[in-house]
Amino acid sequence: MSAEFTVVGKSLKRVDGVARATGRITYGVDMKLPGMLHAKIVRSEQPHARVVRIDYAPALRLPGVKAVVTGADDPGGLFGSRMSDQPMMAHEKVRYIGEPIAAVAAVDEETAEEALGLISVEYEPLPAVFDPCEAMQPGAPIIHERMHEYKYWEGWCNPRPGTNIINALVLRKGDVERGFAEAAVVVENTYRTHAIQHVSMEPHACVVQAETDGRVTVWSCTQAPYLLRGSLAAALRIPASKVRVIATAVGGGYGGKVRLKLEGPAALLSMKTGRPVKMVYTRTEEFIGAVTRHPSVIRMTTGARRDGTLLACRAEVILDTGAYCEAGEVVLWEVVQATPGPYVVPNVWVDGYCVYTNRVSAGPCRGFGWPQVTWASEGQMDALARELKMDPLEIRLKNAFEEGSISASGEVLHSVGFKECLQRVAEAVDWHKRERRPGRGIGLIGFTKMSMPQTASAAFVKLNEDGRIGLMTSAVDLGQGISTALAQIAAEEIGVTLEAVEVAAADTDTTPFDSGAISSRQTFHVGNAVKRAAGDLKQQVLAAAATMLEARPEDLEIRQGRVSVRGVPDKSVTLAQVGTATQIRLGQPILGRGAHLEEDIVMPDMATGQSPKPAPYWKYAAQAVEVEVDSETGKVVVQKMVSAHDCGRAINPLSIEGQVQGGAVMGLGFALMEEMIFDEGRVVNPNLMDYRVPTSTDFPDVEAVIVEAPHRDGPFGAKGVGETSTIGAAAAVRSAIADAVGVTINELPITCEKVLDAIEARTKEQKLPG
Amino acid sequence: MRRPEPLEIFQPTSIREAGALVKEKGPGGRFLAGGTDLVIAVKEKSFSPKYVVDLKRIPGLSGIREEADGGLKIGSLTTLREVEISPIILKRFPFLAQSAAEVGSVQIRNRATIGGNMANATPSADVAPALLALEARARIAGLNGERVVELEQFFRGPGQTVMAPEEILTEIIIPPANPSLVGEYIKFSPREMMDLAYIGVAVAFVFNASQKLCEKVRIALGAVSPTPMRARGAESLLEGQVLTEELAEKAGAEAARECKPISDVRSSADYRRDMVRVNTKRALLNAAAQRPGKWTERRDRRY
Repeated sequence: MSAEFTVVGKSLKRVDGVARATGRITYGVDMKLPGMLHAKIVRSEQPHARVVRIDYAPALRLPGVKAVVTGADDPGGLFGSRMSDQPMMAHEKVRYIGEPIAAVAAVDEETAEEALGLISVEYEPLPAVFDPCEAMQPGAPIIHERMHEYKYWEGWCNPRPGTNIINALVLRKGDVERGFAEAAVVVENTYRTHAIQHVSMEPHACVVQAETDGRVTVWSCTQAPYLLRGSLAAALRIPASKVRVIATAVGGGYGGKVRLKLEGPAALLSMKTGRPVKMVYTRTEEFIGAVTRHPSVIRMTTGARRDGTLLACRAEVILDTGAYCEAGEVVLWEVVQATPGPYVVPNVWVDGYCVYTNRVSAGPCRGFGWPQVTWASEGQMDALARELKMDPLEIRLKNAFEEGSISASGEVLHSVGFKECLQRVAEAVDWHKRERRPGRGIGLIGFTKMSMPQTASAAFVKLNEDGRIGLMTSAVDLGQGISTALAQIAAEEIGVTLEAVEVAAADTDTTPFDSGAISSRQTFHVGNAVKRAAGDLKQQVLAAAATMLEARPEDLEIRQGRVSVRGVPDKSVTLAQVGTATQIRLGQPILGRGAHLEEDIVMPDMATGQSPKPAPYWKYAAQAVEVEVDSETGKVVVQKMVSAHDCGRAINPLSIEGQVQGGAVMGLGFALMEEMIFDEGRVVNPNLMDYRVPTSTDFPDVEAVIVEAPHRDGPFGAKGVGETSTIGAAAAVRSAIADAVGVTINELPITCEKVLDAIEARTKEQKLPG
Repeated sequence: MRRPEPLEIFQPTSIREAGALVKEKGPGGRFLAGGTDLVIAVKEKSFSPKYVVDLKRIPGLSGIREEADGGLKIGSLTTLREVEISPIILKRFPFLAQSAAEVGSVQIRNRATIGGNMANATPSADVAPALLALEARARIAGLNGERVVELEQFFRGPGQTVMAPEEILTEIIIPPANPSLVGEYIKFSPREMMDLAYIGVAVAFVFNASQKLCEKVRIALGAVSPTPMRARGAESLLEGQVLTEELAEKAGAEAARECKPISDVRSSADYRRDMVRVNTKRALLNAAAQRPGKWTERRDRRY
């Protein structure tokens, strides 16, 4: 493969590697401006309450305090992803413990912190609801009374005003009742998943400067500069281009830094004081005031023939989105499309609900709902394999999607490397010849995820007078290596080395529109835009060089930064000569433009969920985990993990391996360690002592396997991999535990205590007479 | 971070001076050793001591000394890292070194002191069960001279000890031990490092390996009662007995009965009891087999 390319497909070093490794890169938390104030947020102590009175006069009297803002200062615009339901600051009522009620700006952080203690809030508590199933019941306290006024995107949302259901979506295919009637075996289970936090190394951070001309400049470690610009403009009720977002380096995002958060209160404070205002979340605020993964309850019934062929799947998916959507409506929309997993199922019936509760909002979190549905769908595949006494790999391979399979929504699938993923992980763990040892087991699972539609990317590529290439996009490098991948795509397309490409940081005043580092989309979408822009630049370069060389453009080629006549290498000009000539003498500076197009997307029919092309592309993956289970303590030790991913075409294999390994460990943390624990809506473990993230000693090295099933619409065939890396780990761990000790845990996380309880319950069962 | 309330800091150069300062300044002060508990309490938990008396300028409070009688003396300002890597401790009581290695990260252990760890009296302190199993004593200096108390009597409750405000823990004394003493510490927690113990079990006994006879059996538990505790019922089951797997199992069950765990955000009380049972058994068998637990392997992975 790599023979066709000179830059793409190579494990080249990161363009920002040295800056990151030496700590010289400027993160959001590093930002400083002259005259800058520091801000802190007063957060709700009530899960659901009317705010009767806020008394901040004593805070204003504290020396060093410059301003306090409350909901009364908020122009009142609501923001969101496809559903706009959230204000920057609480208006009239609070919906979760941790919701911003007021914010204070002072000369330093400590003074701002001290001022928080001088602001008192009087509440009138309202009945609250914390469980999504209870929140769906008639008579549950209504969290958003004005749901009927909320603006949303057609085709994405089906809200039910007067209830807590903010989105109700379906998928219907065939006749499930008939499918179950024909099935030799039917399994039904309920699966639950829990809330986790992203725990980015760098917390949320921003500096906001309200300019004298009414513009607002924001430096933020956001994952999505244009989405932030749109949300902040909507909330402030000003035109989008009045907001300028400059992306700082980002110390990890994982979905947690996609939407507007602390930038809102910081903007209000800057507008009030005229000074730049900095805000950085504490680790506790990351837990109580950012977003979590969506907890879920999924009931699933699946039927199959005696030979393992799937016949029908019925599922009810309930996502707990907390107090606000934060893209929960989109999470639901995505997962409803393929709830049964990456398998051919002729009869499907899915009812999906995204439900408000009185706890910190759930939002995008690496995997975007797919870890939850994979937890359920792969549990069903294991359950069927057990009932049918089939090999878990075999039942998956038998039903697995492949090129040309028809999905549950009626799409003819393309670029499906799923079977190869399954086979490659099976090989890596020696599946067929694995030896059975007491307490040891292997789990092997597969899954899919879409990249969401209706997003956009554009790119500018400029030729400098020194012949070097300037790449301008609003892609955000979270550490995953997108800057390098995009530079590789540009270099390949133009015919220069990676070193000849300079990547500009996103700045909404100068770099073009992009929907951001979400949905594993940047390599595919921005990559396409960059490839087109680079192609456009190349045509302009060839045209200019043709004039200079008195040749026809089609006879020219670009290699290693030099334009020459094919077959006559002496007859050439350098890109520097072209760059200088076009900009300085000819007055025709070269700027290539490109965008990613989504011409063939069809939004699913709201009544059936059917669509011939709901998503730009689907990713496929398989993961295998080997565990050792201590049957006396319930402790699970992961001995080996293999993770295979169909990434279409690997632009930079080294970066992909890094993504795959990091994601796998995040997934194992979700499976075995991480859990936000709530008590009546209050997070009781909002710190890194009581909320356990894995350390480098907890899990083994992860073996990354790259599978390439090129996608016709991807740049050089590439697809994303950022989220799939983490999705299946929990399901694989569960399968491995079942293989090791014969117990199945369907409620995450898999704590030692749960495993031990299950082992003891099973032992008792076996001892029962008869 | 909250701005700490203004406080006075004193740096006395003798124990007498330190004690006198506390006497003079009255209640509301705190001694400072490594600072790994106190500084966090001040910065993050809104704890405001009226004044702080830094002990680090007082000479002679640090270091590990082997006595002529075979006992050990560990100065209260000795860091946990020093305990962890001390050749004498590694040779004589490897499980004590291990218990120190279980605390926090190497950065923390480079600051945290054994005296601070004991004086802070956290029920889950990893070093405490190992010291209790060695029947360690605490030397306490006051204005009117010194006293020595059994470490078991030293702890009074979470964060509480027998010391008066002006008293200072100066030394941990480990009495002479029989050369055939074996021991083991097991910390049970879901995360390999940087975690607090769900439970901790230390055992130490004089072991006649050929006859498998146990004498002077000491079993101590952490994180399962308001103070680190000895499991005397379990000890007496084993005293003078031939160690078998069945007996170890019984002793584990007895230790589980004796402990008084609570349910909290980490674990239920029932599970803690269960883990005391299983890990007491394992600690006894590991100690008898004189195979160090997994900790050396884990330590290799850490560094």
